[in-house]
Amino acid sequence: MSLLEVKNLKKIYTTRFGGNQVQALQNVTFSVEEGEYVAIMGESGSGKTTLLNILASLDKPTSGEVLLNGRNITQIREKEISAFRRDNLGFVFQDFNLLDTFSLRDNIYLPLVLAGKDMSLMESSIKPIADKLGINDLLEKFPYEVSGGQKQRAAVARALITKPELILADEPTGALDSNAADSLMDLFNEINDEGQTILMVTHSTKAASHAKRVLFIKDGEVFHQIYKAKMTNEEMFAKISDTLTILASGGVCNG
Amino acid sequence: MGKGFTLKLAWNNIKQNRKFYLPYVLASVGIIMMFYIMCYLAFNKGLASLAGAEYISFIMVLGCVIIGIFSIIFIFYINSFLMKRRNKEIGLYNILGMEKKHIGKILFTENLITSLFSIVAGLLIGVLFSKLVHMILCKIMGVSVPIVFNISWIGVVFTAIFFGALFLLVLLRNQMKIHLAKPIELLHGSSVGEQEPKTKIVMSVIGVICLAAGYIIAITIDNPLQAIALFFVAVVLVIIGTYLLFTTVSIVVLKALRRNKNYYYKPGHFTAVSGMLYRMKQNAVGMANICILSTMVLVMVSTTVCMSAGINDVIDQMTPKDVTVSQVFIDEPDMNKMEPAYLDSTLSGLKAVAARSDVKAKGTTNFTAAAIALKLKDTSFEFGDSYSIMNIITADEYERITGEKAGISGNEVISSGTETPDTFTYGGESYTTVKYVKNLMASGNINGVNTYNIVVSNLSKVKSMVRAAGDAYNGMTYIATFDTDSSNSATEAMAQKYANCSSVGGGRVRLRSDIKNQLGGFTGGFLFLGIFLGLVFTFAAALIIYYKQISEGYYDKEKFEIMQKVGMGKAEVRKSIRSQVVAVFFVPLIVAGCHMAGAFNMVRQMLSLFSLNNVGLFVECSALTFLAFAAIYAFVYLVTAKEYYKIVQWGEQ
Repeated sequence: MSLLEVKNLKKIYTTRFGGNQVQALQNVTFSVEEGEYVAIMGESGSGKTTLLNILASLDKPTSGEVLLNGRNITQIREKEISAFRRDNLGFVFQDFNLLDTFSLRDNIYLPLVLAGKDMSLMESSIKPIADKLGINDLLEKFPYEVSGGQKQRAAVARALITKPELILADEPTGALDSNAADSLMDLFNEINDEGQTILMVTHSTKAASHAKRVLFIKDGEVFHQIYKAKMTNEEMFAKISDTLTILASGGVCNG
Repeated sequence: MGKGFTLKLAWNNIKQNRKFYLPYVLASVGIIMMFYIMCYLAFNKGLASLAGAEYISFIMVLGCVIIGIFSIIFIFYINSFLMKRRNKEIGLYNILGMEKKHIGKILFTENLITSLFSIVAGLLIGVLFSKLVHMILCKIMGVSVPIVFNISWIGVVFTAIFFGALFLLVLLRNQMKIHLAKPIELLHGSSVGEQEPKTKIVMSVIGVICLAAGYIIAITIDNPLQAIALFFVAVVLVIIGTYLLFTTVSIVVLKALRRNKNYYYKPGHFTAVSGMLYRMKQNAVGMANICILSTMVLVMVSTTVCMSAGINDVIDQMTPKDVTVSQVFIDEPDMNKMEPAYLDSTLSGLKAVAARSDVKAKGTTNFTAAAIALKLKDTSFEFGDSYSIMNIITADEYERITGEKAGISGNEVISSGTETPDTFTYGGESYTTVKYVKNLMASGNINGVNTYNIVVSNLSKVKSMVRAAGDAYNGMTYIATFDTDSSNSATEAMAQKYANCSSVGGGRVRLRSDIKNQLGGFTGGFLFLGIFLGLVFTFAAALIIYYKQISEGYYDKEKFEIMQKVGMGKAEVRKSIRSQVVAVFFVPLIVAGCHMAGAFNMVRQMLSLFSLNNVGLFVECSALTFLAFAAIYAFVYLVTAKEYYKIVQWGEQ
């Protein structure tokens, strides 16, 4: 059984006045195996973010289902949903979403504190993660005191600390300079090598070239996918570029 | 840029920002209205000619000054709120190519619209309500109400000039700020990085010391003159202490909580403590303002309510009967003025004069008391103090006044006025208080602070007590009192005759009706001012709360979205937000309640200057005032919280 199965997902937004309907997702079906690293690409407005919001249980689909470990997350009741999100999913956002009122340490602790975990457990889990992410010296600092790359590392640490089944990343490199973006992507590879499943939505070809598989979405449908297999990052980059060109020029995909 | 366009843009800006502008304009209208009404009353000739009105005009001028100073602070404060919210918009104009000159024009037009509207509407409403307020004031003072309706043109001009100038200053300040700012700064103005508040140990210690010192002064004061002398010292200390309490002490406490890991890292405490830490940084000054305003309202209203509720007791104590004739004999070493022969002959003389004036005197009594200046320390009297007085009469005189046997002997006394302890020492001898009688003697003056009226067994006892007092002996006072049904004019004519009569030459006549007018006017004026200013300040506190909450809403919205994304349930977010909002709201009220309780002793001492010694009544008035204020406060909370939740939009989406 796959870790994540997305079946016939459809999402229609109705504008508030006049009942104009916008189809954000038409018929999305794919699955993610445990330990995979999948990137989802597509142009602005292709439905990437809608898809991610539904996977994150922040939004409900119009029809279709999303199974995480066989459990349909679109059916989870409102009351349990945040606990479910906390226990099973880790999030990395484009704009970091760190709280200015907390130090990096407390930001990372946040999901554990909300889950009512013990102090000793928190202290023992933050150590290896902070070491790996190289933010050990920054833990007492506040978000406004550190750089964008460091903020994103803290956000990654916050996503990892609950040992989630799946990490969902929404344009994680979007607000970073190229150096910080590169090192973040290397970090994602490292985490993935240790067995962490990652699903990332991105615009950036470079970021996507680090993933093991890239899904392309166009007009609310999965249009194409590429497996990295034994390709190097550069080869993967070229291949994604080609696909994007085809996608943009509206041609038929043959590859 | 054409005039029409500027006007249109300015009008649109006001309309679009009505959530901020409407309360501002309403508050301005309210303050201008109040100011005009105060001016109207201060300059009102009809009012000035009333009995006891010499106080009223003074009190109203005082009110004018207080509202004036207050409105300067208040309007500047609210304006800075408004401008902060609009920084982004102004920065955008600037970047889109408007010159600062143009922005200045728009701001000028906006200010012109709001100021003109506020002044005109404020004056109109003020004129309309001035008559009503005048009538209420007359009612409170217990005088008849004149029917004529008039407008105080001095008041109108004065109000218009004062507020015109004030709004002009506000405008200049805004123009200056815009002129000095860089567009990018403006554009990011409302989201300038939120830094964690710093711990200021020294300031916190100073704050705690100020607060403690203010409280200690207020609580340990044991006489009215000291209370008056130290009142402002205590008030200033508590105000400084309150500001530091909210700005620094709170931070120190919250940080200490955060350091306690077992407390801090719990779902409920985690977000609350860190949230409050940041809230305190933004809100501390506002909360301190609200707290001080609330304290002012509470103390002022409770005091004035107590004064006017207790004034009848005071009048009864001062003049138990309709007419009081008194005469002071400064140097009177032998006590013959206390002997029945003197008393009888003087009384019959007074009665004769009354009869000649067609005044029927009923229930006449008279007595002579020996006065000693002294001070009670624990249970022993020490001589020589300027504000506590002991009046001593004999058991014989007691019988003449009350018609009852005193039934005391040796060192037993009957107490009246300010109660004496059960046993006390006086001049080295110990005495026992056997009973307390209310309103035994007319005290004759309103400054009779701590007037111990005692009855001793016989004249020789009085003599020995006077001898013991030495220089503290203040002579004797002869007092005659009686009731009458006769008309005011007849009584007044009689009073005139007494003043010229040789047998009671130099005596003073006090009519109960005069005292009632005088004191009624005095306390009525204060009650009016207390309630009037209380309303103004409550109004202001409510508005500050409103603006705080609204501007906070925009900031919190973002924060709570993040919390939901990282796994905080909506219910948890709601709980956390509610507890923080409630804390920000009600902590100032609770602290104000503490201040009120702390000031209790000091205010009670000051009230005793007006011979108001009824502690129970003051407790009641304080409790009622607090409850009424808390109810208004809670109402403001409900209204504001609703707006706030609308902005944060919890529950939706």
